Amino acid sequence: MILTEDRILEMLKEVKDPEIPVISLVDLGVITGIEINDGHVTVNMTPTFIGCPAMDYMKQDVVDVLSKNGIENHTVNLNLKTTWSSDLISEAGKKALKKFGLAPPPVHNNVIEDLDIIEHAECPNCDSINTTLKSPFGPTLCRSLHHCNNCGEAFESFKPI
Amino acid sequence: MYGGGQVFDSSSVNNELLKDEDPQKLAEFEARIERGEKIEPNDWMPKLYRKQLVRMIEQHGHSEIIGALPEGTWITRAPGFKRKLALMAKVQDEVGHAQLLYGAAETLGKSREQMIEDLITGKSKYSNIFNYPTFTWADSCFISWLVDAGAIVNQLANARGSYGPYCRALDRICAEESFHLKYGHHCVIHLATGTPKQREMMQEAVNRWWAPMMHFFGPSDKMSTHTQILTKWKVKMATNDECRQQFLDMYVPKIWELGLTIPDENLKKNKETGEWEFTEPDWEEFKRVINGDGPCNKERLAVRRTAEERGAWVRRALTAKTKGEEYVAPLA
Ligand SMILES: [Fe+2]
Ligand SMILES: [Fe+2]
Ligand SMILES: [Fe+2]
Repeated sequence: MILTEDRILEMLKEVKDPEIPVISLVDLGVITGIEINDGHVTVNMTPTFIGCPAMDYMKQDVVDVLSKNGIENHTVNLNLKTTWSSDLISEAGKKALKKFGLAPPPVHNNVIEDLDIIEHAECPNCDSINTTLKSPFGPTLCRSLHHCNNCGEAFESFKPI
Repeated sequence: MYGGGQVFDSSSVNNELLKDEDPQKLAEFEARIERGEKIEPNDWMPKLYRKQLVRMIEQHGHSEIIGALPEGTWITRAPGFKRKLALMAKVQDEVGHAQLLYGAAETLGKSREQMIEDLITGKSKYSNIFNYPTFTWADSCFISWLVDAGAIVNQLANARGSYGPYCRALDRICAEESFHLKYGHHCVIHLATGTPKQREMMQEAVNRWWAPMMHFFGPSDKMSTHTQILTKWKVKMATNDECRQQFLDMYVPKIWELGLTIPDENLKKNKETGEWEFTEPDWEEFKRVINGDGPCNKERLAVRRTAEERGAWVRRALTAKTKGEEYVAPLA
């Protein structure tokens, strides 16, 4: 089997976010680079925020998946040179988040003009935009809490960052 | 985290409330639940159903918020930077769970302010286990691993219930609790396989917390009268004893595996029945603590009350209408 970047990405789709088990690290955009040199595989990971306490667990999961697939010759790096952005979440990832009850973040291309952007969230349960922000912080800093005035759902939204 | 027992104080199930319900609507409602449909906020529901759900979800929310306190005091004293980060994130998760749950309870018509008011005046209850102190770091590790484990047993059962918003919130909460469990397990393994002093510290924590842990799932089914209607309506999805048995089955072997002992010489699995046997927990103590006379009840509520009072000016400022200046929610 010839190792390619795509094949490794495919393998790593098995590694899920430890707190959001419906999305893989690949779809979340945490896997920020794969290099293959003479059969040596390097995986670069960028945490969603610096100091993420789940990073060690995720790194271990990546190592386990590589080993399980017979790739013993590997390095898993923490890449802090680039910062993670919610724009890195794939379309498939956004769909999975929505299905899980987390409104996905809108694309922002690093320009956030309206500070009140988080006040507008689309209900993941009924797609209504008639929603009210209840709290700018949820279980983690990257999520806010909302109420849907249409279907009554209490939901969370992933912030655009 | 969350404890199920006290929530279903069966005396609160007042069947009188059912008398003036429209029999046809009631039959339709029950048929929907029977078919496995979820009930949504705008749907018709019996008053008794609404009342019991508010009570259950609200008490679950209170347990999350009060449950953050015994662990929270260990953030500043956590051994090392990594543990500190992880514990901080876990405690924040728990408070977030409370927010999510208050949100779900609000969909049934009780305001968040009223819920918080009922918590600090002692009118609503929260999980009894948080009325015990965390003397050492090992106590905090016990909570992260085993109290969260107990909570998962309860919550996974509830997540199969009939009220849509609560079930959906629980699915997300359970995903986070599983991560807490993993973190807690690692912390306990670290101590249990450490120096003699670390092992001793962990063993002492198990000794202290075993009784509250057995209380956690609530009084034995033998002691509580039937709450048939709540089972039929899929509000209560598993009995206290079922949850306790499941917990014992999953975690006692894991505790023993680490070379720790459990302070109950009668604890063993009956090979024939497949059930765990144990010394009956002291239900008098349970009642006493639930009714306010535990080692930390006063302290827990005092902390919550102080937080409420100190934050009052912020809430006033946020809702005050200043000319031409509108509040903008911060991004981070
Ligand atoms: Fe909605
Ligand atoms: Fe929790
Ligand atoms: Fe938890």
